[in-house]
Amino acid sequence: MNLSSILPPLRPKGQPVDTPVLLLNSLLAACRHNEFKRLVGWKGMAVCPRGTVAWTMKLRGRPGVYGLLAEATGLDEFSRNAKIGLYYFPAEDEPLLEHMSLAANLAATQPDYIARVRTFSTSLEWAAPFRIGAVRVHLLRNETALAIQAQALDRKICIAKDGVTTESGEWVIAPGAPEEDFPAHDITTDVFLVIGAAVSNSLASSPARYAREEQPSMIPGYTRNGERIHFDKTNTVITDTLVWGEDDSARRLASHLLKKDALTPDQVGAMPQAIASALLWKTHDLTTLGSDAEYAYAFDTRPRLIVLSGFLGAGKTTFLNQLLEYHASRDEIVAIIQNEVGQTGVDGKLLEGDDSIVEIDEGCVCCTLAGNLSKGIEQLKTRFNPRVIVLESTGLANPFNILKELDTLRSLARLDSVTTLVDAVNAQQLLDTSDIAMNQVKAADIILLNKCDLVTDQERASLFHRLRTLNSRAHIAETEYAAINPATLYDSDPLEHDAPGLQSISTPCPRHIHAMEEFTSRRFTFDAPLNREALIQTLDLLPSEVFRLKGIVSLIGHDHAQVVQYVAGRHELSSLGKKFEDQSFLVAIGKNMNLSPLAALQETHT
Amino acid sequence: MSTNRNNISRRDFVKGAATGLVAGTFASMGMYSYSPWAYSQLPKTQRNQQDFGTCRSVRVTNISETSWFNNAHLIGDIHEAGGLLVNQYTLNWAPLANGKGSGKGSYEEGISTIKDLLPHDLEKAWEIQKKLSLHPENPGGYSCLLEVEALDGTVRKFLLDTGWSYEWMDSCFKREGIDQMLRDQEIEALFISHEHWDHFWGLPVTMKYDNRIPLYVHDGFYKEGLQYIKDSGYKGEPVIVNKPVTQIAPGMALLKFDVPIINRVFGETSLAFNIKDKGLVLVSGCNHQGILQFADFAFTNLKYDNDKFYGIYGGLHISPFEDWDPKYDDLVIALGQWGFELIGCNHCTGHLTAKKFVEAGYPVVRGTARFRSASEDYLGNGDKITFG
Repeated sequence: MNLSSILPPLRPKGQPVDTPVLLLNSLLAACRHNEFKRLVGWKGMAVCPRGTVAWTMKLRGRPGVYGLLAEATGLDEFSRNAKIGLYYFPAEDEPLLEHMSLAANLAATQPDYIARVRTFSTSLEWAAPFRIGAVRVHLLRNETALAIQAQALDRKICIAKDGVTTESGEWVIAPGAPEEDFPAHDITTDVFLVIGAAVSNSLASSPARYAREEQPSMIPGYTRNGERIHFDKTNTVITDTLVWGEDDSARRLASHLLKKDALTPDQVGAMPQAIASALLWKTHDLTTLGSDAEYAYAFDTRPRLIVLSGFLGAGKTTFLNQLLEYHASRDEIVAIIQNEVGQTGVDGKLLEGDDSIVEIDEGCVCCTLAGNLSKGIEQLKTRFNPRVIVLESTGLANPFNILKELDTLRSLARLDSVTTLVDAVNAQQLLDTSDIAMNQVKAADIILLNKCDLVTDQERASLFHRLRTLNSRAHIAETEYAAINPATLYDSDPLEHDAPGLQSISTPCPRHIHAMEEFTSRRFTFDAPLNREALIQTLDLLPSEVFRLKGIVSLIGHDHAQVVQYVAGRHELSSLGKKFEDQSFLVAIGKNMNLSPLAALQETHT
Repeated sequence: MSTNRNNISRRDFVKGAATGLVAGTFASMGMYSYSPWAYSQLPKTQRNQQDFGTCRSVRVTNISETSWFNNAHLIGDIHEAGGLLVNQYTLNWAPLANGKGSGKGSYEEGISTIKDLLPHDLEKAWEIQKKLSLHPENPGGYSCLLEVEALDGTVRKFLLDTGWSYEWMDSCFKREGIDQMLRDQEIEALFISHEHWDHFWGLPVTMKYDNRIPLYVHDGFYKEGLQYIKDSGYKGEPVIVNKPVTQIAPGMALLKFDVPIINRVFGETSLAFNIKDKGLVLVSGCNHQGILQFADFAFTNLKYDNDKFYGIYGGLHISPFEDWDPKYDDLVIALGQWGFELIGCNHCTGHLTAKKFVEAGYPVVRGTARFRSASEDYLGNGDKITFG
């Protein structure tokens, strides 16, 4: 048992230990391994603000949220210990609620339910109906053994002796029926097994002892007057105990905590099935676990490949910047492969980098797609080991074309999804006129309906309906300024993707390529800084055939260069936040464009 | 009894009840879940607020927040060596590289190449290490000067962290006059927030000017880290911080967080100040404990004026955990809950996050983006912020 990943490594033994934090650190240390998170179905955790040590967490197997709250800490001759209250907050639509108390139901039907769950430690009276049991932590005084216990009623039952009726006199709860009756122990076991797996992992050793003890308990009830009554029917309190440490220490700690002898790991036959088959016996050694074919899914180290598609100006660059920051803050690299129409990699510049492979500040690697895609990905992997590779297809590309090629990349990357950004303002018109836009929607696993702030509710609803008709399986998220946390879209758990999109799409025959839709692009450059008014006047003169215009220009009287964005008649200038060292440029993309206003502007600024 | 089924859904009932009935009505129905009995054993949240005195103000000078200049190289090096759990002393970065390549470094071999030069000839030591290390131009460092004004007006100076690159940190120290302050022994102590390369490996630069400065480190330091303190030429005895709260001066306390950190580092110490009539100021290196835990701990354990969170400075890591309900602006929401009146953020906060704070209307003190700081949303290198 090695405590060095959960307690200060060189600290002298015997100093005070914050036992609840010990458990928290054990989870934190184990969650450093993505393999661990996948193996146990980890879905995240949030620490509750203010006051007592408490946190909420979610697991794959249950739709609701667990809450853990440090209720007491103690120190006796034998051990440092803590009692941690265990709560389970069901999802609002979870059938379990029908078997929970009226207070639980009332709480779960309020609009602030999830917000209160996240801060449950600050309103314990509110949270009380969700308490299902307790977890106890015991660290032997000489720190050579650690025990974790989970204690819960087999079923949590409370009788309403006089029942509850509706105003019209119908029974909601019949007299003598339970106000609550649900399998508290089963729910407790799910989280106990994960905690056990985390402790094994963080101590780098598997448990040395296990025991289950059962004690009878009265079923309580209440009368209308709040009088407590007891029923002769009895319930069972189940306590599961796991002990880690050297054999002798573990035995000593176990015998201190238990009335009977604990089982050793080889006495599998005497253990309940859920315990005997649990991962907690194996998670101390992930390397060995990884060589077991049964768990191979959790050890997939390939980067995730996201195909990002969407028409020009739909917000891909904004979205990409968020993805970059999200992963950079987790010390991970995102590699972006760009394949933009136009002579200049405009987005590359906006993402602070361009041409072949360029490394940029916030943990991104950009490259333009030249030649063989798989060779490019191989190079990226060797040089940068990215966690995510984004293949940003040009706004004018048909993603189905790319999907065919992607099939050859499986050994290099895990195909995650096709994400398509849709510009709510001009999508209807585009879908009417462009097969490529249509295919981008059809091919998507995730659709971000962006710029929702610029349309009416009615327009948004009708567009949503149209997208849904075109693509019934995609996850559609409505956004403004492409503002969305990537973690809500991309799950690190491959098992979560019940529709691994890319593989399931039958690739239709591509009927169109760029040239057939007659999209062209033209680049303009400016040696001298532009007058802001002149630029805006020029933009206003552009014909509707100019679908998209992007670029970076220097303006007279501005210290910083300006990023120009223009989509279907609307333009926006924003600061690049610094000087632009290269030549100012604008790239226009569209069909049969008359670009004489831009040509004139270029003429006067060379 | 558990077989009782009826046609009225509890959810539907309480939905109706929520409009018609109040909780008190449920209680009069004798509902367990509305009985005071159900809650009689609940623990009460208790704040055990330690009084650590008061000061008038604290001024933070950002000596350097740019820990490295190319994130792709940094993360690439880490992943090439085996990932986020690899021991930092094996990464083969200057000044502790042995020339054997990624993941094959060792503290002993690395330090042996420069030990006799520390701390008097850092130029030569860095030159040697440039040839042995991966991406030798990448290191920068994190360090700031804290000037704490007592109620009587006297000013006491402290350093938080000492950066990474000898070359870069020495030039930053000179830019802000830290070298002279150290020579004159004006700086009372150096606190190392945590053992990471970018906060700690520049230690010889401080030692060059003052090798007896009181030095505080977390008791989570590994043996290489403690050896490096000696090998850097330190002539004092480091204070190993092993209490959750250590008062340093009136209105100034060191807070210790026991948290496992990437690349085999354990624990972070951060600073808290109680500014008279204003409230609490938090200053951190990286905030690996998460700003929520940092703020929470201070809220529960410290006594401060107006019971008000007044200011925060440093790198603001949101949380070491992935949230189960992530939001686009969760750091914005988390920080907003505390109602800080002055925010100076940089380093590991993230430019987009800093920008979100600004856009949310938070009182972010913006910087000047000089000396290689990349964004005006950061309180950048050479910038100052005064609390109080």
